[in-house]
Amino acid sequence: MAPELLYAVLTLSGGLFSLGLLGLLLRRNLLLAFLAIELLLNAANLNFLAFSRYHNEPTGAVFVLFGICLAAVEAVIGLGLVVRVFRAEKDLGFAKLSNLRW
Amino acid sequence: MGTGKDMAFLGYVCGVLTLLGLAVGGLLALVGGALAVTLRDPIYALLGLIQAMIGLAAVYFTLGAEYIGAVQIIVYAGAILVTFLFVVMLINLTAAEVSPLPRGLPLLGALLLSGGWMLTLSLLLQSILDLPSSHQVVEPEAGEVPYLYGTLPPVGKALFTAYAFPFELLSVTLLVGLVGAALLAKKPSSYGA
Repeated sequence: MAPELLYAVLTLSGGLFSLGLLGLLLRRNLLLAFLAIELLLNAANLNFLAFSRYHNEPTGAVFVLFGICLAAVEAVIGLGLVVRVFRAEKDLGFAKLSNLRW
Repeated sequence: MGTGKDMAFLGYVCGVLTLLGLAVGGLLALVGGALAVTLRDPIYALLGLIQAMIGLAAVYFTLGAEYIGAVQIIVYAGAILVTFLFVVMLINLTAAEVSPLPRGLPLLGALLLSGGWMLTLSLLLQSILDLPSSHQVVEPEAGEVPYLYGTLPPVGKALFTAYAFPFELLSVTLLVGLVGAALLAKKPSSYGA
């Protein structure tokens, strides 16, 4: 792969990461903040694959596979927590979820 | 087999198709991501994220990672995000319950921070701009079909030889996630104490 293509893909990944970061900073809702985290994970996966393609070896693809599995575990645990918090507080807004605040 | 001129034309077409796939997939991903972080209705935000995942899968296919592209569609768009959708519907989260994006100083701060991050990333890219072109093509043995890195045979080989132990650890992690989720989702009163 030409280096120019690598830079294009890395820039795309950077854009996605920035979007995810923006969402994580701006969203005032537990569930929607989780969505932004998924975006961050995907930006990292794209980086892995870009370099995997650049060096033409499958290590990056293997790590993306691991990343997707870990994202699945993270989503399941996170969503379980979301359901529990919702049951206890009847609300997912950060303004009300201040029980753990020191 | 085609002549040299034919092959050159084929290479040109492949290059254009690659750029087109990257542009379309990348645009889908960026627009979907932007929708996912700005829309108030959680269902629409989720659909934006699913669009981003499918655009990313297109980029993966363009990069030659066929297996990962398929996994991205099946596992990410098909399983993880649909689980999100289930939870949104389970807790009946509507746009009315989601507070709008903050205006004024927090918005400015978040924009500055993520924009600064983007700038840092592009500066990093600049600093590696004179990377050597290390596109190593592994010469296939005589009579062997050459595989691109992202097709199933090389990925499977790496997964079950060099990364066999992390792979097994991953299955334990999935099991822990399974048990943890089952425990978390139970009614609080239904287990001891």
